[in-house]
Amino acid sequence: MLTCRDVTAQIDALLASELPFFRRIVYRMHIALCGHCEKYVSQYREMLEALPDVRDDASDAEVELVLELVDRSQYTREAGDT
Amino acid sequence: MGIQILVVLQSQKERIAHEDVVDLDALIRGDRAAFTVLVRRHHRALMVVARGMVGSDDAEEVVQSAWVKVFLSIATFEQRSKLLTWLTSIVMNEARMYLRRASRQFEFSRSDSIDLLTGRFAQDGGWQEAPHAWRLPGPEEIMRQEQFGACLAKILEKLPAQQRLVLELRDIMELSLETISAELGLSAGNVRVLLHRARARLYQAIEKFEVSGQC
Repeated sequence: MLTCRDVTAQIDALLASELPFFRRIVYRMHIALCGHCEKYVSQYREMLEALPDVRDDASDAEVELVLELVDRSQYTREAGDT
Repeated sequence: MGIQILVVLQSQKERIAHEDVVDLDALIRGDRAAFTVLVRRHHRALMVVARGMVGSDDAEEVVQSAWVKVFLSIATFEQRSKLLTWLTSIVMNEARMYLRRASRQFEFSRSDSIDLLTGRFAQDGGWQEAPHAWRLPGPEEIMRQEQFGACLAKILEKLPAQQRLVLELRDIMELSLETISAELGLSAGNVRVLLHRARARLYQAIEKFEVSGQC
């Protein structure tokens, strides 16, 4: 029998379609009957759907530092070429 | 609250969609403005990757060195993969070279194996403390949305470096588990363990924010 604890442990396998057929049926039956697990799975899924959009731009200081290094490496290459 | 996440992120997404138009032709021509957009957009994600592989102290050096390589070799980008995937592979190569030079290896961290949901279940495996419902957005939520965005960033920042790395590669950059496993030299099982721990931690932290308003 699949318990609620099993549902949380196997959720990644379910979402990645890695559960064997029979196991998947049992899993889906469980969440159809258990409101708590249904809530857990749907909120977990929404969290994952939102994640690709979590982005954090670099600060001006971080960008400047990278650009300085790139400029320096170009200068070194050009100096090496001449 | 799932919807709240989506609402919070929608505004970020619109801003990003505008800024994320990296002009590849301009990049290949060596256009500085296009390169600046690229760095601004992806530097922090690449720092997460480097931090997970070489540690916080050395990550900056790895990523900076990778950016120099990107600038010098952008003309060779063949667009068979997403630009971010290509950038990530350069950072990972750089990290591996760094580890080799330092005679170090990327190793799976066995620490932090705590089951975060222990205590939430009764002996029979049923919920003892049921999952809390995440709230739907309403007018009173608008003030909270900004707080939530900041909180989410903080939660991600607090994840153990390897878990954050695998979460970034799988759920943000959307690389396959096979690719992650091959790139990191970890078994698929270990990648799954790290990913599961990261997601469970994230879920717990979001739930805590929802219940208490505390991050």
